[in-house]
Amino acid sequence: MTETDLSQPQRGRLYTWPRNRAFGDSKARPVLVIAPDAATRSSHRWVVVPISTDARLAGHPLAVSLAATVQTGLHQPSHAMAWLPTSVEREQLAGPLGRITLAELKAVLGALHTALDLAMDEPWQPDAINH
Amino acid sequence: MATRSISISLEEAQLQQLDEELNRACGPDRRNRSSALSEALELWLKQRRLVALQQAYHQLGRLEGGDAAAAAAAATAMGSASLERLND
Repeated sequence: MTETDLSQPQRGRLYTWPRNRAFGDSKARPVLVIAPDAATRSSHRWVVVPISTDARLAGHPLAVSLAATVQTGLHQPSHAMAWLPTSVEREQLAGPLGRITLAELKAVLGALHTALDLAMDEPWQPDAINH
Repeated sequence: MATRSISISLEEAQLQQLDEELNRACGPDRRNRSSALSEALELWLKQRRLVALQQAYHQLGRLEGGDAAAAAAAATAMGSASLERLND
């Protein structure tokens, strides 16, 4: 994998995670770094969301559409899957491919906030849990 | 938090019910229509957000196969790979 230039902000950058046939992925997968730079500067594990080209995600409230441009480095119109953040080993990433705009990053983080119900709108009743 | 005033119209009967409820809960001297309606609106908005969230996940749950499923599997693989190297 290419050496990552950590002097640059990583949040909002797109990288590629390698193809992994064992898990059924038939191609290298773009991911978007959503972790703040305070985290990416200090940790080998970055929080990212996967990017999909699945056209069925267009317009979905938890997906953020990203254009295929020189700036993003994406080859097809794609969608950031904000409901599926995961951690990834920095050393496994290739790139960066490109970067999204501030407005797009805010949209992804907003969708993440909604997807994970960080406002805790959903009723939470710990007393009802039997442990 | 900053607030802004808006003007709303209620049916006479509805306003009467509101006042009766506030009188019961707070007494006629301490009733605050604005606060009560603000609270009701917040609950309504919260319920709307919850319904939208449920619909969004329901819609995702109906997506089978395709690149969305492959990306979800890849996300699981990324997390697993990261977990395996947790103690490195």
